[in-house]
Amino acid sequence: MSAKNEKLINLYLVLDITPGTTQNEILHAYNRAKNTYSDHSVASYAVFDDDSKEDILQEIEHAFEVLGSPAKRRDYDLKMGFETWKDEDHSSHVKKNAKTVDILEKRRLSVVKPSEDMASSFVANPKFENEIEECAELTGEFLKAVRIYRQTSEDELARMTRLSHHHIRAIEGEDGTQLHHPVYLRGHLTLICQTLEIPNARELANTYVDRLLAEGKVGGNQFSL
Amino acid sequence: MDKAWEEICSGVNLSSGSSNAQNNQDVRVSSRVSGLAREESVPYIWSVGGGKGGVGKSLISANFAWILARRGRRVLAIDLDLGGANLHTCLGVNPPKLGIGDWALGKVDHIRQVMVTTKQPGLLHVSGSQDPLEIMNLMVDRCDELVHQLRELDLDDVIIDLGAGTHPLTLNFFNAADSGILSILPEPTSVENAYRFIRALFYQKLMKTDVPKGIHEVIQAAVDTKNVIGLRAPADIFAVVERLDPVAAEILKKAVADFHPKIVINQVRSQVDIDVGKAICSVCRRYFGLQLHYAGYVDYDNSVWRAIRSRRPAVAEFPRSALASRMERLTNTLLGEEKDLYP
Repeated sequence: MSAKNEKLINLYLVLDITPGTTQNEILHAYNRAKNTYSDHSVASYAVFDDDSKEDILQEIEHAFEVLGSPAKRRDYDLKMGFETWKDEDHSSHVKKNAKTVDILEKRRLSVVKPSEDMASSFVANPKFENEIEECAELTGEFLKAVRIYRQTSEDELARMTRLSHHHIRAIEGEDGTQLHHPVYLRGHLTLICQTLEIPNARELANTYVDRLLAEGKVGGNQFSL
Repeated sequence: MDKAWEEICSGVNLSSGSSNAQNNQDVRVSSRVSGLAREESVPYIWSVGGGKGGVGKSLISANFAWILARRGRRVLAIDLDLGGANLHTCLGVNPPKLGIGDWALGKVDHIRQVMVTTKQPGLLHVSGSQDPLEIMNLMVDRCDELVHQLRELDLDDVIIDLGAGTHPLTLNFFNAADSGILSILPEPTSVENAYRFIRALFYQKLMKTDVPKGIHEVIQAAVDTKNVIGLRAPADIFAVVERLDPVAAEILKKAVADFHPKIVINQVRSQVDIDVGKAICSVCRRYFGLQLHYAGYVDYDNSVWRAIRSRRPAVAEFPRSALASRMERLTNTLLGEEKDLYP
């Protein structure tokens, strides 16, 4: 970055990334930044007061508004003199995007369809982001949609949460015969939500378990709650 | 003790088994060639701090030192956690008769006179086990002298295990080291104390600069978190000084420009815990204007307490454990053989 550009706001720095970052990494960085300055974060409460955190969160939102959109990002990069970002792994993104779009369409969510020039990049979907933020009732289908939207494979999620693939599949498919006892299930769901950066993880985990208990899918007679 | 030192100085292998002597010597030569580019015979000094007790400073120091020695480097592990010293236990050494306190009290002239061998060839130890906390006050003014003596040793690495808190001695040694490592737990209390520790290091660096007295008074005022000069974050001090004295502001910026402590998150249980390291780096960049390096993390592992009970480092007692594997990777990162996790 040149000295001239340093005087302008570096939106990449706001998200703790560099100009060469992929669209998918920008989304991860955005979620990570929001978590870092949220109320429940262990990393920021000791040094920033509520007003400062609010200011920082606004900066983060503004940065993502620009960098999260490939078109706006391209304009911004040109204005700042940053090298234009190019996706190196074209084919894998096309494949992942196709899967993302498929799942989201099932959920009747509007998603920008991969056109010729945008197919190579991950497209952040503000509507779906909003739905994740405001989710009040957790379902297996929603978890799967978020996982795919976050471009996290079953393997990656299993590695990050240290749960088995089998169990993750059972949770996403709400397969009561394969699910663990509610006592453990609540913890596993909380962990998955936190890993997939879904807010209010604990409360959402409770909605999932309570619903399955009411439907008689889990609980059984192992021991009473 | 002196014999051990003579053996190292003369290049004779420390291993008691003669059959391994040549092999170990070969490893030593090759690792020094492939390791960090540094002056031959000038040891690289690592300090391990964290601001809080029980965050794994001794665990990381002992295992890191053991791995380095096992890779053929010549290593000294010093315990400066006075009043709570137990690095010797982590290294499997009985409390030695002589320690750092004897050097501080002037009973010996050189630090090499209080060094003892360990069961790991190539690894020496200076204990603080017999020394009361008051020794720290005696040592504050002799920090430069001790660092000078450490630089004279014909070793590859010196690892200093620091105590909790922000005692001037702890800050002096952290700042005097070539690399500072911060051990932090993904818990509010540990993170809070780590910031307090970084804050103290930050201002100590600024206070040691050669700037006009008036600027020192501004820095002194900023140290108080309820300061009257209206600083919301330590990073703001540069802008305040810039308005008063642009030359002094440049000097202050230079003083912290090369300050990049490495952080290690200990007792990690999930991805959320791992991400705390990145979050801390982000907060430190905004709050202090410092770029920390996230060197790695160590899993919460039962092998730790089992190793402590057997009075051996986990990497020696349980070489196939997850913790040993993480420590090996962490060592690679610290040596620059693998990339930091962040940035």
